[in-house]
Amino acid sequence: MSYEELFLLEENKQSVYSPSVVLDDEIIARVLFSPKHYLEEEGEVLPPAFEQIFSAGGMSILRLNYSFKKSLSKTIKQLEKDGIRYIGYTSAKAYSTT
Amino acid sequence: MNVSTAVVTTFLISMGGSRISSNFIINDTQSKYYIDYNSNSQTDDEYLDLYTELFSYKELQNNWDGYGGIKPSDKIISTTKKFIDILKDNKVLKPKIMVSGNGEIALFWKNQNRYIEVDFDEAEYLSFFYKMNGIVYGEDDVTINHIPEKLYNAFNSLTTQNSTNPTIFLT
Repeated sequence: MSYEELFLLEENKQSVYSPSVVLDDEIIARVLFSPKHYLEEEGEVLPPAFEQIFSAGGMSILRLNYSFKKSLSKTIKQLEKDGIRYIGYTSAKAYSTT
Repeated sequence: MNVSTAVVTTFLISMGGSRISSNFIINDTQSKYYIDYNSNSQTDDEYLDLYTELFSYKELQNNWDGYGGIKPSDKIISTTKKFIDILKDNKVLKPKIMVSGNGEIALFWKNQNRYIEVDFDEAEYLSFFYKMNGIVYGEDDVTINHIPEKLYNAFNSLTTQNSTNPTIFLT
């Protein structure tokens, strides 16, 4: 599927669990589970933290306006079962270029 | 609203030199790895932690990033090491290193509006691209036996341009 087709998909809700389409200026968060995804000295998140968007055609995010703490806690607990540690999250403001 | 658009933007911003650290929360300490390494010069010393970080990738497990990430193959790690050796021998200032969920390893240098990245996703080959002063250039599937001419020139151009904070130089 091309990126153009993926962008079109995101014009509509893709899951019954989704509260709504992501709006401009909405804050979205990417949860990090590996220290390999940031430079501690610089406090900088590295591009591979977002690589899934290219390799998988999209990536998981959390939305700060919608039960963020609860969703974050649930995500962390799920991965802790597999021995994966929570590192932190990085957030950004969403906006459309179309 | 395109989430992908927003995230791609974030990705590009992070590659372009801007930081998105203000909202970033860290509560982890990095593991330490020991490698056998003979240091003969200041450059060697500077590269020590780069080798340490590279070899730490051998310890990664499947799903190491929580998103189904795979570990880099031994061949990719070996290929990266060979090219790092070449950089060190040419006294290129130490790059930073990163690993992605698809098992790819990359070296990168950046300062201000300049960014150089060398990627390893196939044994004995590299790809690279750089963005300097708005100019983007890249090559794929180059053998790792030497520093490609364009890449070498990119390193050198950083030393010839005025910069208050150069991060790359050749001596």
